[in-house]
Amino acid sequence: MQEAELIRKAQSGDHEALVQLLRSIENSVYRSAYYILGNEQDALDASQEVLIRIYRKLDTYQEKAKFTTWVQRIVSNVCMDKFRTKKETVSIDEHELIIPDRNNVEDEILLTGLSNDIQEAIGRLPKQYRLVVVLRYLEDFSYQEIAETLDLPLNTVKSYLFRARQQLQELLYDYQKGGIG
Amino acid sequence: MTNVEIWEWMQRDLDGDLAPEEQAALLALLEKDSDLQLKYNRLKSVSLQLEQLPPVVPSFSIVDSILPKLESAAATPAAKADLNEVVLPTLEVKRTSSQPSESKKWKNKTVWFARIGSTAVAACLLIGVLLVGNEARKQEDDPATHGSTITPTAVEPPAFIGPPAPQPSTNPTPITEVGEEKPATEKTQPPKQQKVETPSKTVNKTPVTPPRQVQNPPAQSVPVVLPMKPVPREPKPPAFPFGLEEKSDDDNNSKSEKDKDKEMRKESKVEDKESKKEDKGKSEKNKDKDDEDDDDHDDDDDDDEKKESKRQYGRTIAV
Repeated sequence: MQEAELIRKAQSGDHEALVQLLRSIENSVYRSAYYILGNEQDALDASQEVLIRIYRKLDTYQEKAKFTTWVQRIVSNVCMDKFRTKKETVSIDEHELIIPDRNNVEDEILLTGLSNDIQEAIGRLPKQYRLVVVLRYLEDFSYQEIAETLDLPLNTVKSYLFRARQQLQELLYDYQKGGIG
Repeated sequence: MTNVEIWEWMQRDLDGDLAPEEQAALLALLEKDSDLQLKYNRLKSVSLQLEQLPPVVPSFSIVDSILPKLESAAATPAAKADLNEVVLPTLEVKRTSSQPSESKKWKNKTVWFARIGSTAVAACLLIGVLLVGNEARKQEDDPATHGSTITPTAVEPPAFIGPPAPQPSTNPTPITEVGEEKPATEKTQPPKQQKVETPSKTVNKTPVTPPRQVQNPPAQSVPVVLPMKPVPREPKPPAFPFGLEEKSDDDNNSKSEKDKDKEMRKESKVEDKESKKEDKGKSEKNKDKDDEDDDDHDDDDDDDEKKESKRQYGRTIAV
């Protein structure tokens, strides 16, 4: 069943269609949340909140925008809220708790055969840059779609993406030299 | 082409945003400049790493974990609606709380009305008091009222023997004539009767004390009449409420006292007549004639009593 048909059925009250629609977007939501937030636990919490919001506000969705764009907008909003709440309640204990989570993520990444350098470098980017990079490379969004998702001008999206890549290149180059970290 | 423009073209080339002509021009530039080629290669490796990021998946199905919540949330909207409806009565309560403010306003208004009314009543009372006071003053100035106030106090001794009293005068100076021969009559006079006021109101309370001295045995009485102590004329008493209060006091005991006084006066008159006939005889006919003339003029027994009381008053002072 196509995405548009699922959306229509879910909006008309079809519970099965709604659950099926949520399952179809579940992995992409979690992936984006994971690379934006940088740890599994926050990614799970954010993913749950995003899916619940989609479930409750699906009737407000209009087909003017792409459904994935609408979903990723919710993901970015929830992740930004998470950033704000984390900033307000920073403590040594929480910081200590984050580190083992990150280690777990690193283990998971190592299991997939990828280096954690780029992962760590993404975590060093500013939040807006991180969002643009994730949307561009993990969700494969175009400049226009990123602009619609983040409600930013097109040139701003390009600027963020170019600067993010430049910074990542510098970070990875320093890391290859042994100066990163 | 500047370095910035070349750098932007390299970025756009990584995203596949360059047109074929622009892409060819960029490659020509990169072949010429090794530094630009190095930068381009670094950017391309970063982009490749980003493209090769692992598609991480959650360890469990997030949808399955939140489905119970979602199903309960499906039931909650109605409950929430009910809750919202329950909230409405609180708003109604707030409206009711606004009603007391209106009632308070009315209460305040009524309080103000009451205050205004009370002040108006007080003003009316004040005006009335002033008017009554003025009327009372006028009545005091009126000679008829003087007579009326004096009559109850005029009391004569039961046995009064002496020459007829002269004409009453408004002069407060002491009366030095007659009365030397009758200290004995004054013995019988009760002390209360000494409070008699003259028509001219020249007597204060000061003469009240002498009668006790007069009550000394009459044998010693040498007919020495001292001039009456000049009594300063009383200033006009305050019109109100003192005058009214005195009147009221008089009214309370006036009937009984008046009856007694009348009886006493009648007795004294009879005795006077007898004494006049016996003692004075014909020698004092002229004086009697004068008195009779006076009586004819006045036709008032009270005046005689006043005269006699005045004479008696002069006598009382004489020790």
